[in-house]
Amino acid sequence: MKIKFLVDNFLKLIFRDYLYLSLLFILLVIKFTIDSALGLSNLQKTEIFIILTFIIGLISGLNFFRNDQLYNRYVKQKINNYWLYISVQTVILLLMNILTAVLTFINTADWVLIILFTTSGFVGTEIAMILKLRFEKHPIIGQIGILILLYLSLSDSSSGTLYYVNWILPPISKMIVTLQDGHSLQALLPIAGQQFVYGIILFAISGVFYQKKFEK
Amino acid sequence: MKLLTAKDLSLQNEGYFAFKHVAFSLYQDEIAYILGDNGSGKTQFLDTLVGLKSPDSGKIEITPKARFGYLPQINPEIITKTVKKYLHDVQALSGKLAVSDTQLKELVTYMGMTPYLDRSVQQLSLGLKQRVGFLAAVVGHPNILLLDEPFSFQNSEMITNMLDIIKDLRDNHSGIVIASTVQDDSIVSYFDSNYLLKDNSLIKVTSQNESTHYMLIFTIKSNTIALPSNLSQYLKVNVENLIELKVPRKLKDSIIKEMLELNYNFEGARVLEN
Repeated sequence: MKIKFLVDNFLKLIFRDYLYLSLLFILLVIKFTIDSALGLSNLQKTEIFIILTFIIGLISGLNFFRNDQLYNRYVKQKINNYWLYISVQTVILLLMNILTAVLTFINTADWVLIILFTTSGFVGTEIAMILKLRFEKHPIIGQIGILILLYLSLSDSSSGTLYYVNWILPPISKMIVTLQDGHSLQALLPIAGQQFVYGIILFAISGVFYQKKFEK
Repeated sequence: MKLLTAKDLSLQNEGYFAFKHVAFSLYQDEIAYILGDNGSGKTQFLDTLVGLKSPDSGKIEITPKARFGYLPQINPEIITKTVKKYLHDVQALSGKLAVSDTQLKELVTYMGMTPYLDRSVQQLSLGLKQRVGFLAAVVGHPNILLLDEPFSFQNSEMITNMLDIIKDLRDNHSGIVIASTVQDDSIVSYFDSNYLLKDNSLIKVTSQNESTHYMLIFTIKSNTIALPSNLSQYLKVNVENLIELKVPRKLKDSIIKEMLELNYNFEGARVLEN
């Protein structure tokens, strides 16, 4: 019953203020106009959509957690199970990312692309999860944090200083660089797996970090 | 039995203390009333007790497996469900320990919510939302019930009904904390302990009321059962078919109930000067 209650609540939270739907609409407009407007290759389009789904995941995630703070203060008390609460949140956000990927590539029905875009969006939402309270209580620090993470996520970390901390950075640019190196889409699946694990690690860290805020 | 203990509890928000070094205990069968002005920190205190805020210092001890019911002063949740669906969902969240369907129906009727069962909670007036929130807090049959300004937007009849439900929970071994900005003399007799939250401190008020005694007057019927030892200690008068018991204020209601169960006729009560 708790799960059903939470699923219902979180789905309403995602669609409450139309931000996610607006972002999805913009994504679809870009998808249907990018060919005629820019004439990009499939490879370039895939790179752009990886970045876009990551950013949509991040922004929708931040909005979701902001709404959660605003509207669900007392729902947490009713549920009284911290890990169930945040686990259902993560599953719902993963479903949201699947929906983004499926709607973007529904005409191609390419499941590899759907997996790649789902995991990219998932990294975005989990970054939002780890930053949720910083963003709420210290908006300036939160926004700077988002910009830094966005920069690190999208910077080429295959060389230079970032190479040494490659393992700690969100594996978004890694996927793009691998794609640029001429690998097939199937070759990106392990990186998608890495993105998924990265998201789960962020979930676990944020879960432990914010537990004190939830429980006595 | 102690249900909840707060030891040396302090909380500050952006450099300002909501409350400092607060000590508080809530027992079974107790209704604790916290009076405080606007901004005195009542809501923050209740939020901290229920675990929605982490104190900056001190600790809260809660009896294992305690179930909380909480009526916040303002619930920002946007509830698009109907009153009926929402209350049933909250009832289901509490599992087997929640009130039964029949009890829920009775509670809804008692709180005058029957005509609104099929209305969306979101569309209700503030007063009706408050009643839904109150019902949502009690349907789980909590051991610890925290109510933040429960009587706002309510008429005197509803306040009395709420107090009856609160009293019933207390009589069933729950502990209840009520925080409010106003203290109405007509309801003060319901509370077992009174606190004042002022200047960031929580002070227990031991007013004259606390030491007030009542003389309870009963008459004997043909099927009356003899007084058990726990009640005979309060016996002051036993003449013909008249019984008078001198009891402390906090035990008044429970003793009347017990005497009625023993088939005594309750004739009245008078307050004794200290």
